[in-house]
Amino acid sequence: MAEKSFWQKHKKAIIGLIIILVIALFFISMFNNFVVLDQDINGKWSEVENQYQRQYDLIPNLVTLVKSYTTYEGELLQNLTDLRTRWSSAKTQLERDTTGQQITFGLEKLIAVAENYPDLKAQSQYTNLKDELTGAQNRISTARGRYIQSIQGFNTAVRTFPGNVFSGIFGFKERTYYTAQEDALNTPVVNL
Amino acid sequence: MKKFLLPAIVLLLFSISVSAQSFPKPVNYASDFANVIEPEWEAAINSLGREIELNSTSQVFIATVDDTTPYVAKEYATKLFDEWNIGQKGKDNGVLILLTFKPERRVEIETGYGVEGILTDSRAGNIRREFTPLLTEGKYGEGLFKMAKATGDVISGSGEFSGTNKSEDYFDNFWLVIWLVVFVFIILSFVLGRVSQKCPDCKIKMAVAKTTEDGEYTVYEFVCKKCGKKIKKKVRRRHGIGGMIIVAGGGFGGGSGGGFGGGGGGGSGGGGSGGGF
Repeated sequence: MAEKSFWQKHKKAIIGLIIILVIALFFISMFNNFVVLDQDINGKWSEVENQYQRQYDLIPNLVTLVKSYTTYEGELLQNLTDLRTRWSSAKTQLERDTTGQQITFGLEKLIAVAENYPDLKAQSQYTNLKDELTGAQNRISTARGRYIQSIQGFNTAVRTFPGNVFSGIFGFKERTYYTAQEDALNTPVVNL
Repeated sequence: MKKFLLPAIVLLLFSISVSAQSFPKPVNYASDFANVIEPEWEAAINSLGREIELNSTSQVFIATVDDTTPYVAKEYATKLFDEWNIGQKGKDNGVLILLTFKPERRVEIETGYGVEGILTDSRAGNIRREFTPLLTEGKYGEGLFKMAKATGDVISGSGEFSGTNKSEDYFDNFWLVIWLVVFVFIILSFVLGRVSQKCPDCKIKMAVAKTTEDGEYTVYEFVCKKCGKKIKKKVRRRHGIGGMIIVAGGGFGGGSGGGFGGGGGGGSGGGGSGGGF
């Protein structure tokens, strides 16, 4: 009788090892998948913050410009300046997002009012600022949309099979996004 | 394992099919889906786009779309930009000019992350306002060409962009390509470096009978083993692998001219400027 080959001798051990390896790889890839999705959310949020910052940086110039051409808009301008301070000192993400959205709405209101002042409207500096502002607000809207999409992706992975089995083991919980800001979630794209 | 894997695969396929949205593919630098650009202007835009990309590596794409529903023009522009990956990977130096008719007559200049610094929203706005009257008159091809030209001028004036923080994987690819080219050249130099000669009569490989040196050249004397025919061949001498690498460096980068290569992997954060016409 011919001598048994290496494969024939260790068949069971090799198959067992392969199965263990595949299971281990599956666990690792599931875990990594959660980590990647989780990191993605953080990345998307910092993009939202960046774009709020862009909007924030435009406020002083706009306020100064509008102030020099108008007389009765003091309250609106003061409100924006206050909001700006509140945004920069906001501690939580929710607070930052809420104030950021309020600034967006405040600026939209200011632009609407400014349209009543022909002298102001004729200024190229004003036109440029308005372009920058619209750009910033469109960017905020895009970044927020991507952030929410990223959370949805993560939550889907956590809730659906087989992720729901593993998320518990690895300790990944569903992430929440703001239900309090229902209307703010659908920030309209500013058409000027 | 099958118990886990099969549903996972099914789920994966399902989620892919659900998230896939249908956007048209880019035709060229100008993609006139609404059929409003005159052929001569379309050709002009395409050659302009090629020129801009050659000079600055930036990509300026133009698209006309009749109806963007369910999106508003701006959203559609951002999505189309990402779908087409306009701009070079790692530089995000792309611009998309989108003209739409429904639900709104609008023109959107969508800028990639990498060009935001130079083609600011206000600059994009100024370009848009300057040429919008042409669009209002129905001179779509001319208006879009002039917008693309002005955009290209702004971008080209700035030379290279630093882009975003994605440069790392760009460099990985860069070195990979360099090493591949060097490798191929080394292999080729071994293969091509061997001088051989077939006998014109017997069609068999001839043997080297004698080699003599003549200045820069080496003279090989071949002799056919079958019929005894002799042939002389003069070959310029090679100077080792060092010379090869220099040749490899010089040859790198060619081969992509002419045709339209599509988007390069850029992304947009929704910046730019848009307005009605």
